[in-house]
Amino acid sequence: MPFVLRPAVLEPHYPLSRVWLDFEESFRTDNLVWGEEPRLWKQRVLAALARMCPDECETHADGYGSGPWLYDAVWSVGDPRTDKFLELFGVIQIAWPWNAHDWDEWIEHVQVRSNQLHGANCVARVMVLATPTFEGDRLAIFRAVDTADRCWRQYVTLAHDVLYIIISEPEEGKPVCTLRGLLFHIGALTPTLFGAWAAV
Amino acid sequence: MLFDPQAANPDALWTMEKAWFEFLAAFPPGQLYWGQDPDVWKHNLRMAFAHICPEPETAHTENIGGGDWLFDVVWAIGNPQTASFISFGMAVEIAWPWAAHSWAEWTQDVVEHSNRLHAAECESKVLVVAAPLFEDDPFMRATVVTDKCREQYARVPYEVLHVICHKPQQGNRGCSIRGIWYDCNSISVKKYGDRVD
Repeated sequence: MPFVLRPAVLEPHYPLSRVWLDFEESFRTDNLVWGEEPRLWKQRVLAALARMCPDECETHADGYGSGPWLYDAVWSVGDPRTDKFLELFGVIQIAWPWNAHDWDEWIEHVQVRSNQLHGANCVARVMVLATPTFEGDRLAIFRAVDTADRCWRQYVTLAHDVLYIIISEPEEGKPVCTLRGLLFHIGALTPTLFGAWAAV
Repeated sequence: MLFDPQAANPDALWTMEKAWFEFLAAFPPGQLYWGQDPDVWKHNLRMAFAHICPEPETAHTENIGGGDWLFDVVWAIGNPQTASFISFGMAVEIAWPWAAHSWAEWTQDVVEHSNRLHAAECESKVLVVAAPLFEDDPFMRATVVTDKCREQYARVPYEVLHVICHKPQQGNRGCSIRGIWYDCNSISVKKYGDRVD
């Protein structure tokens, strides 16, 4: 008895570069302050990403839809807890290792979150990384980029783009977080960089 | 339609058919009890899928992370907890809705487990469900539900095996077990017979 394969509801033409631009725009005036209470910080990041949800989808995350589901946030066609669910379009993971005491612990946490993201059957993947500044470490952004880059390259079967959003400590004397984006394209050897890279 | 699992997926390290028969072999008749403590029941199922994992090509989550890793069991190339992770080989979800008092409640629980399974990025997936005896023919009812579960997804670039364990009839102790294999490569369905313990 054959069964019927249905066409995808959404075509995979949702550029993650647009997600980055919208994300940056949302914090251009409503600043993301370094040291903000973690729960509030996470809610604000999720709220920004919820606003970028494609029209055909709904966001499920803390405070949106029916709450988190497997991942920190998902953009799905239909509620994933019900028989209305048709497909997972986007998955968002937030790595904010508050309890990490050094870079090794931080990288280990990011690695697991990134692996979880890779394990999702979806079109769009977004990973939000917060880089700590362990005492005396001025190379936080380089470590974050290197970690994201190694995470991306380990997955040989990846068939979709991934956007890493890196939130790092502000420059001296400024309260507002620095935002950067790394967009890894299928088939590209180097990522597209967004944000204040010249200042690093 | 003749069904040839190797032709359907010649590059696979294992086949769903092999997984099905090895799963059955892991539970000799009478070994999968109905009414067993839920945690024990689930643990036994997890161990069965860990036991039949085709090592060393793949590893399973029971020995590379201590159990749950997003799904009840995964077979993985590399360790999902480390930088050695490359991809999933197979994901298993186990739905055992002990608290369900009706088919509506049972269905809701099974649908959510099925949706979780759909969210796994891998070519082979297994959904194990325990069908209670709210009606005379729990297998038929459960099959209708799991059929709908599979049909609801827009994209199904994988094969999925549904294992249905249902309450034995009249005094038997062991679960009856049936399997349904949907293969998107050959767009076909294969049903395995009822094993009544």
